Amino acid sequence: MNAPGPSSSARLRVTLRLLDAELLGAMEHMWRPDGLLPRYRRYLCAMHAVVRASVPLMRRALERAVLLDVCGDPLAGPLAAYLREHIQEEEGHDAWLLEDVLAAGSLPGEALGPMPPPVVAALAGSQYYWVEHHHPVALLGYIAVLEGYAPAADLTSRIAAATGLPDAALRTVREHAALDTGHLDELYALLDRLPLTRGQESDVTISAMHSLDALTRLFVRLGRSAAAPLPRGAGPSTPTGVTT
Amino acid sequence: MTRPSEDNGSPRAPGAGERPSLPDALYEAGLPVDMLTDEQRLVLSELTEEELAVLLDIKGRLDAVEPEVQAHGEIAGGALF
Repeated sequence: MNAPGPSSSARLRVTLRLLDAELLGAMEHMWRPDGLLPRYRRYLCAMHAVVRASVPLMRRALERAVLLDVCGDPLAGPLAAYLREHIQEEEGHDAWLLEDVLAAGSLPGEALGPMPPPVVAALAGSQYYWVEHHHPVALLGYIAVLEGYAPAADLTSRIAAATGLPDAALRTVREHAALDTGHLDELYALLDRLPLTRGQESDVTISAMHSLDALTRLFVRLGRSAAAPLPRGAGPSTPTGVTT
Repeated sequence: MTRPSEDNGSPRAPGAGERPSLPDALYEAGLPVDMLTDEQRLVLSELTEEELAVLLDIKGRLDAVEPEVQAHGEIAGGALF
C-alpha cells in the first residue's frame, strides 16, 4: 500500500514557499526603523483598504456557499460553517484600523477618502470575481496568504521603538500577531478535511499565488520612502496639459 | 543549478525510492529545485498546467523586485485579513 501523499495544506505551503522570499523581503524592508512613522501611517491606510473587504468578501462567499449547498455541492456545507465562524472573528477589525490611524496622528479620512490603489483592487477584487463567477472555495487561498504572513510576535515592539507611538496606535498589528496563528491552523485543518477535487485544490492554490503576488507588490510600494504629496495641479505638465 | 540528465521536460511518476522529476521550466526559472526535499519535489512534480503557468508568471515578476527588498532571514510579517 502506498504512503499517503502530501495533504492539501502541505501542498499549498510548499508552493507558496517557492514564491515568498520577495514578500518576506518587502515586509522586512517596509518595517526598517529609518523613517518608519510615515510608512506606518500609509500601511494603516492601505491595510484598511484591504481589511474593509474581508468581512464583505466572506459574507458573499457564504451566500454563494449556501446556494451551492442546496445544489448538493459537497464543499459548500463545511465551507459555509467555516465562513460563518470566521465572519464573527473578523468583524470590526476595519474599525480598529481607523482607531490606530487616529492614534498614529492621521485622520480617518486619509484611509477612507482616496481610491485604494490598483494593487489593492487586484488583491481583494480578484476574490470577488472568483467567488461570484467561479467558486467561493477560491477565497481560502486569499485567507491563507493574508493570515499566513500576519505580523510577527515582536513587530509591535519594533514599531513602537522606531516610532515612539503609543499602544493605542498599534492595536491591529498587536491583535493580529496573537490571533492569526490560530486562524491559520483552523484554515489548514479545513483544507485538509474538505473533499477537494484536484481541480478545486488548484483553484485555492492559484488564488493564493495571485494573492501573494499582489501582496508583495503592495508591500514593495509601502516600503518606498515617502515623497511629500504634490498639491493638486502642482506637478509637471505633459504636452497635453495633463498633470503628472 | 544542475538538471537531472534523465529529465526530458515532462514530469513523470517516480518509481519506488526514485526522486520525482520536475518540469524543465522550474529549472529554467531559476527556482532552487536542487535544494528541495522529496516532499517538495513531489508536490511540484504534480502541479497542474495552470498552477505551473501561474507560478512561473509570478516568479518572473517577483524576480524584478528591487534588490534592496530581498529577504535576509528575519520574518516581520504584516499582512492583515
